[in-house]
Amino acid sequence: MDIPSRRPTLAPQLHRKRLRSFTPLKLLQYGLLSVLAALSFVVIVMMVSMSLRPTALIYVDFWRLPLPPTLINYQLAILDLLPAMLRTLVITFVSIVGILVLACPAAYALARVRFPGRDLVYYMVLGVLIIPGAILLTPHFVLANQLGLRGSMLGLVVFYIAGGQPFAIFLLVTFFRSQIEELFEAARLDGTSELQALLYIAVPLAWPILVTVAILNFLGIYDDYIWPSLMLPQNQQTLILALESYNPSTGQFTSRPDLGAQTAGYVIATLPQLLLFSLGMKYFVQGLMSGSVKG
Amino acid sequence: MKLPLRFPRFRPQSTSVHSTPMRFRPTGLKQLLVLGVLALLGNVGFFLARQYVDVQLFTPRPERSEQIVSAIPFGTDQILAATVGNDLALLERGLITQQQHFDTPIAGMAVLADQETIAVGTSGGIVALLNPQFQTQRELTINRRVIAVRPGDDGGVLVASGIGAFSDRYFIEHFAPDAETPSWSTQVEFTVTDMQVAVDRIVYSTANARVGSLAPDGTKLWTVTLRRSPTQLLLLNNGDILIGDERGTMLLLDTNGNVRWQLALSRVQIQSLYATPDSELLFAGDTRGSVFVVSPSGELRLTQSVATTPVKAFIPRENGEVVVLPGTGTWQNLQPAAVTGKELAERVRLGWTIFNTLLVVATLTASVLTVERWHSAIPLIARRAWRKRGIYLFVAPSLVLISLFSYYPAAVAFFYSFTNFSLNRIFRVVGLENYQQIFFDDFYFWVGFGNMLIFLITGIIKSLGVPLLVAELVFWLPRESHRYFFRTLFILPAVVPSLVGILLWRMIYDPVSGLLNQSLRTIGLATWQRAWLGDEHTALWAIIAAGFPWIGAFPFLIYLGGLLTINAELYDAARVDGANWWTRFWMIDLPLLKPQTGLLLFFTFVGSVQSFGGIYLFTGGGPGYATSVPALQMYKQIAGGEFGYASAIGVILFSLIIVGTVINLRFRRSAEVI
Repeated sequence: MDIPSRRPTLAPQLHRKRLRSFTPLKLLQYGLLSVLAALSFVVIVMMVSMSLRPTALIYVDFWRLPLPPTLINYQLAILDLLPAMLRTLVITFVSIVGILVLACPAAYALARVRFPGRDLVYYMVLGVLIIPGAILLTPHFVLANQLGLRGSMLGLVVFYIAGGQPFAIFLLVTFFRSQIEELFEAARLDGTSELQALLYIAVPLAWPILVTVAILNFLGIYDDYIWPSLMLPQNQQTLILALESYNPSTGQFTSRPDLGAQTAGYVIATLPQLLLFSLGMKYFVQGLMSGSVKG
Repeated sequence: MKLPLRFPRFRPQSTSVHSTPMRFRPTGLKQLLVLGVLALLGNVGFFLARQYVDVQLFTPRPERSEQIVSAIPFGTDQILAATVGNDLALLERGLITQQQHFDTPIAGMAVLADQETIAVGTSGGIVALLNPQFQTQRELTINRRVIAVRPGDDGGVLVASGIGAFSDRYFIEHFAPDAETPSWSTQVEFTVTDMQVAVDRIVYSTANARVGSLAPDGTKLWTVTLRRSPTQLLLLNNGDILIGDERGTMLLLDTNGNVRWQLALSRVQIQSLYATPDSELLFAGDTRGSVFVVSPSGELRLTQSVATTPVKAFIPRENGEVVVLPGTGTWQNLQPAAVTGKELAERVRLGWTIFNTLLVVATLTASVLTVERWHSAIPLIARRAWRKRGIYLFVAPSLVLISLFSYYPAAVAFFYSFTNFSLNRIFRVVGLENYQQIFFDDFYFWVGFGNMLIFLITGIIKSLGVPLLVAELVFWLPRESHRYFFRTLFILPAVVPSLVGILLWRMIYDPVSGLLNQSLRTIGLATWQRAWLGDEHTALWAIIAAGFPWIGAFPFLIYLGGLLTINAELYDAARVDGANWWTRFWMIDLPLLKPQTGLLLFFTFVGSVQSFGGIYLFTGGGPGYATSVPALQMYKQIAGGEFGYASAIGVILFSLIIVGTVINLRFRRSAEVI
């Protein structure tokens, strides 16, 4: 993976000299950027603002700012959504761990060891990446029925682990192949087994790619709606499923949605992803900007 | 911890295996020859076997029917038919021998117990009693829409009639011979759909999915509620009640109304039912012209399409044959005795297919092994694989998961798409029927397909337009810190999980408390307010507009990354040549960002074709069909247990995406050459 640390150093510098004075073009550039940035935050601001106001007041006057802010919505939403939240986090965590634990040895074998059938196996792995999800939905549902996996979290996890394998293996193989051969030569002379080489050399050096794989799978699993909706019963919903139908009845507004509690739920659902982004943003951004397209 | 894993010792590869010219093993050739002979003999055998057992279940007759609504047998070889034009016709060998016109549609016909009097009930509320020459003997005035007319045991007539489309003003009445007023009249709970009469009871069905039974004196015996409204009833000789419903299900109830079994035959309404006199074979005809043969224990034995219009009636003949009458089209002779032979022939055909499949596999394997070099390579490969046996443990779990959860499902999906696979139906290979229905009969699919194209085109504009603009604007910011700041700012909204984002936009579109309508009200455009997602004119565009201003973190970063890889000297050269930002964008950035654009185009294409989670959360495909897409239709079919049909939609989407993938690879390869 070649990560271009090089930026267009020369051009903007030249540019800067010319643009030090205010030009209409530069004004337009900053203006446009600010407006677009503001617009992309409208939804988030609305969410946070509503979550901090009592629902009754939202219905009375929509535009008022959340002053003074109230946390009553959060108290309600946390109590209601906590089981679903924990369930989702467990599903996501177990799936990611499962994907990595199985993909690492496979990728290592494909990248570092010569054995008969290796190319065939690797092409089989790559071939899966071409199969679109659309065709798999029906047979997956039937398979889950046949294996008795419907209605349990285990069923979800198994499918996520299996589904996450090909792309994880692909990324890991690429990474393992770029690791320095000499390290492994040395280990080989010391009589290290393949498993030890994997555990003590390859994996510790592969943290960035492991984090990338984890983030990508987190986004896919945490945000999934369709598969859990087919697999899980009403009383075992994941967070997104629970949010979709979340409408606590406080008795005050029998026919209207409790906007405050709902938006509080949305904010709560955003928190794990916010945490993940703040920890792994660097890898995520780098991965997207460099690895995806070799121009 | 010691595993039997070792790094390979260096071992010179023997090259002699690869340098020999291609030679064939004589024994291998002999094996191929044997396979060839086997194929020849086997296929001839199967062909003869099929010729021997195959029989015609249906044979076309010279007669045709034109726009027949219903038909009943009359006498030994005549048929009474009601037509769309409100005519009653007496047919003999397909020719009309007598005809009489009625003012209102004929709703029921019956031949009374004397085998001479014909009772005809009309929607206008009259039951006319005719002699075989169609002369009116008497008229009974009912004053309600007649639904069904049946012969009474005593020579009288039973009439089901009522007022209103969905009301409880429906009655079953009995008129004794020569009586003008009913001898009894029983009110039933809802719109009657059919009524049948046996010696000891009367059975009726209603449009709210009930089936009820009356004693011969009109007292109610029982009613049961089913899942769907029956459209056809038939009383079997043993007292069981055969039912066909509006969605193609056949049910058998016992004398007391308990369901013995049910069987989903078709997706469309059952139009006619018939049972052989010994009740050993049950027949049903549906709206699309298919005839289903069912055993008394509820197993589907055969299906055949005999017409393109509804199968309106089965008319039994003296010799045991049955004439099948479609609404419009050629009559068919049905031989109930041929069902067993036909089944055998189908089994022979299945065996034939399996035989040839196995033969092809065997031939391929044998051909590979015939080549000397490949044959001799097998022990070598096996030995090397054995030496590395430990490493297979590394790949085995992933390989098993991939095979079981990716390759097997994909392969089986193709197979399912050629079957009627469903949770509540007998598994049957139906060939191209699903595809035929999708392409020619499924209005829902094509509306969805159109919507999908709209989503695709707008999706491309959304993911290529604004993100590129923002990437350009950020890239040309004069300061590194500003660039970093804005980059972070534009990625930050991505922390909101995408489905939460959709729920938020659903909130924005809310007719009462939504941000959009609130804003319109505030700036004095209250008349523009509407239920954005509930109005079929705006729902599609509301979904498309959601996410405004459409700066996806993913396309934005891809483009920004692409701009960073462009050689800065190009820009310097452009500046020297006096290029302004506009020409620079068109001449340098856009051409050099082609790979990024291609990638985004591909992802948008795949996403538009196969994802539907967002649409499902926004509108569920509604209102009506307004925002449905094929993938969502597939989801609904899965949820409804229609796996065969869902798989066929999946295969169509799969083909679309594969075509897109191939084009994408072509495009990328050619771009690399340049």
